[in-house]
Amino acid sequence: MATTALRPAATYRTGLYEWLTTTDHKKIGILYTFNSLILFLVGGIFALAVRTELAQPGLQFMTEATYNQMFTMHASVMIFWVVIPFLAGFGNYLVPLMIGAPDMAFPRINALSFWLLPLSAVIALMGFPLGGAAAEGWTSYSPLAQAKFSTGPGTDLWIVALTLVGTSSILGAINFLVTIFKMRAPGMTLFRMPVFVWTTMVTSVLVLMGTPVLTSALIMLYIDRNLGGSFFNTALAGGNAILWENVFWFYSHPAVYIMILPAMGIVSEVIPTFSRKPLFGYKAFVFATAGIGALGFSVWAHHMFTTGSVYLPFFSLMTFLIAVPTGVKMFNWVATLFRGKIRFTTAMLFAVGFLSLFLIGGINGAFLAAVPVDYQVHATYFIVAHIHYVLFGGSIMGIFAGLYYWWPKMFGRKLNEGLGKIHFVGIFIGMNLTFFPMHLLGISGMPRRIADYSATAGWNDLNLLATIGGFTIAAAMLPFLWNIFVTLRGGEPAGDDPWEGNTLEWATSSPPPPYNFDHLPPIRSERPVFDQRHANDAPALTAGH
Amino acid sequence: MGLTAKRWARRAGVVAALGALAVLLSACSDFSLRNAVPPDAASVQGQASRNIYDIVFVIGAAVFFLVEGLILFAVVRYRRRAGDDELPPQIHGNNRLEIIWTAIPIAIVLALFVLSWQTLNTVDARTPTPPVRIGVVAYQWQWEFVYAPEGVAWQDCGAPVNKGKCVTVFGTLPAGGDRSNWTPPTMHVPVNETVELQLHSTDVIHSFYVPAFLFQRDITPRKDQVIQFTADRIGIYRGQCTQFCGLYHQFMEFQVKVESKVDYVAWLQQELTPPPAPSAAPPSPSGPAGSPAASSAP
Ligand code: HEM
Ligand SMILES: [Cu+2]
Ligand SMILES: [Cu+2]
Repeated sequence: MATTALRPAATYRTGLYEWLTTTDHKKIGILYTFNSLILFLVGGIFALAVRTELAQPGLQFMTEATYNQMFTMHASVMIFWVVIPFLAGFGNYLVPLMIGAPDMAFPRINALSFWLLPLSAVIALMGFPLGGAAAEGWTSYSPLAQAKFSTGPGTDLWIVALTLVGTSSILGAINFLVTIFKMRAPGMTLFRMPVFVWTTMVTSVLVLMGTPVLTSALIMLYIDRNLGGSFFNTALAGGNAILWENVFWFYSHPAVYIMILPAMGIVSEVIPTFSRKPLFGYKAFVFATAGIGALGFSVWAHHMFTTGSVYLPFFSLMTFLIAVPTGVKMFNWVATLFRGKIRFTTAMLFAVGFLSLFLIGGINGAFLAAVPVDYQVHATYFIVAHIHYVLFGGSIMGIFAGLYYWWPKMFGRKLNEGLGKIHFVGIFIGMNLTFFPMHLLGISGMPRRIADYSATAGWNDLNLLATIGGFTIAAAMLPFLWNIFVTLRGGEPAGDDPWEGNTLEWATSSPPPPYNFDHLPPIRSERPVFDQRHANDAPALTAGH
Repeated sequence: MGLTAKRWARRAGVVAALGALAVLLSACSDFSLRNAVPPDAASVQGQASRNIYDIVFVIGAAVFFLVEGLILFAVVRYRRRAGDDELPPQIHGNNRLEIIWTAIPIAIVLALFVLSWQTLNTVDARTPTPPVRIGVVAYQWQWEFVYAPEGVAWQDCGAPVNKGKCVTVFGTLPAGGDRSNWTPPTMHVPVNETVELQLHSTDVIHSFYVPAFLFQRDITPRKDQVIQFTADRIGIYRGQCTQFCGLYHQFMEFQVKVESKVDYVAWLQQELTPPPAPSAAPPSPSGPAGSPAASSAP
């Protein structure tokens, strides 16, 4: 197998036109990555605005009106234009490579899925110059989101933009499912697929079942606002505010798994590679993933415990139960580390960071499953702590692990490991400084989504600390951006398989040629590249169990 | 490269940690370890919630230390030494272990579920004859607490026949958005008696939250809610709307004043005697009174 890094690199230097019209899943994956990265910076600036205002009591920097747009657009951007598309981008880049396929099943629909994203982001952000972006929170509860209470175009733009994101997700999910079911290379049975492909598959099922519900709800909200509808508008007979909460969370709870399962998949590729061991309990892991997907549709009302309108014991029980498959995965990862030979590359540091932080998000999630505890901390900063330990400590840490891990495959060059480690340390410290104090703010009663707070409530120090943490995170992003910049201009050449990977993407050149493979190694397990590398080792070494 | 970079990373980490610690210590004015646990409950129901919180906390902490400990142990013990190129044993799994670590979490969460369900039944228990009933009206962006006499629904307090029979506490927004000389509306309740709140919203969703009661309930338009609590500690407790309700959500604070029965009755009596001076018409819930003395001034 020749190292062919130079040949395809030429095609990546091709002009703008090629990038705008490409249907190559790898280029589309890279477009997803950069689009998500840019919007991560945008969302990050909104977050800094929020943290800056909250550093001290009193409104120093903005009005309530601006603050409310900031926290709304921060969450909307991070969820709908960063975490979900980032992970979909990894899926685009990796799924065909990992199953030995030449491309996605529907390359042009794939391009459409991508281009809807920057378009919709621009639409949502247009609210700022047009008199105010959406300001009802990312959950956009009615009647607050009705025309009477949310005037101006921001909310309508937000609705239209999210409808487009939903369309993008649905198309992408169909594409992933057809690709995974129809285009696997000979020998690539379902139970030989890399775990990342499994997680993308289950995620796609969640998207397919959940996202149409959100999209319909958004259209209903649009009708309420603009055409006199009364789905959720309690000012009219028949309008039901709880109905919105039900349909919104019917999507948005599964959406939290849409945002974590592929990140779990990433970590499940990174940890085995750098422990030099197979993932402990591959099948159990797959079943746990499917279990989360199935249970994920029976817990949505845990976001509504305090409404007095849901049957509490059922949703509490299901919420407790869904913690179990997550716990099983945690043990699988830790057992994979055990007796391994662990190499601390930056990717591995982020993966271990994922384990230690996501664990906290799982534990404080279990607090919330207990209804009396939820009565106490619902809609306080405790929730903000929870969602950031899962979404930042989980999804974002997983995304960073994936970027450092697959960057060499994508561009033929490694990201600088020294800068990467500074990045990791800064993020890890900043993340905990920012979000751990929020647990304490929450249990001492600080509501979320407030522009300001009483100076005598006892929240000053913890808020200041969280703001310091926020700026620490921002500072830690600088070495990362610099790293990308210098690497793209000439980093250390990676070679085809810089990490001794296990899965098929490491069997082709870096970056891979159009249509991915000249020839494939035989696929006899979930680690074909490992098998090939160790084909001549003593059989005792590689045998199972 | 690798070595210096590692040293740099470590140095950056230490500096950041020390810096943060220094700032924390020097700026410390209102943090105390008291913030690390929920407020001492001021109601019977709140105490029940606090008990289940403590149980969940202990189990959560145990899981935290166990798993973080395992992670830490593994990454220290099993790191690859320089020059070691031997493949570790390729272990694919272990059914017995996997069954154990599935079964134990199931047992734990089922136990937590049963315990928290029992607590829930205490917290949500209701008596048909609460001695005190208060109407709570939430609107953008303040509160109204309505005390109606026996036999009169709080909704009927505005009717001419009930004139002078009801007591209503009206909240106002702080002038100019300045909290420093502003008192949020105060709900008076007698200690050790079951109080029923009838929660009603006139516009968007709000939420009635008193941290010291460890309890909140959303107030959704067209979905009036009824809650009961028994405050068991005299004092003044802060409360606040937790459901984002628009522009001035942050100002929807209130207080609950828990007082002796004697003090409570005296307060009610005093409020019922007509004020000597002609009072201005009370602000109507959804009317322009809601639009605040703007705090948006730069
Ligand atoms: C161990 C598993 C988990 C459990 C038991 C759990 C439980 C809960 C509960 C009960 C709530 C509602 C709290 C409330 O609003 O009062 C909640 C909120 C939330 N969870 Fe989780 N969770 C878990 C994992 C996750 C994961 C993996 C994610 C995402 C990656 C996630 C993201 C969120 C978000 C975004 C919210 C708040 C949404 C909002 O109100 O804005 N959770 N969680
Ligand atoms: Cu949920
Ligand atoms: Cu509010």
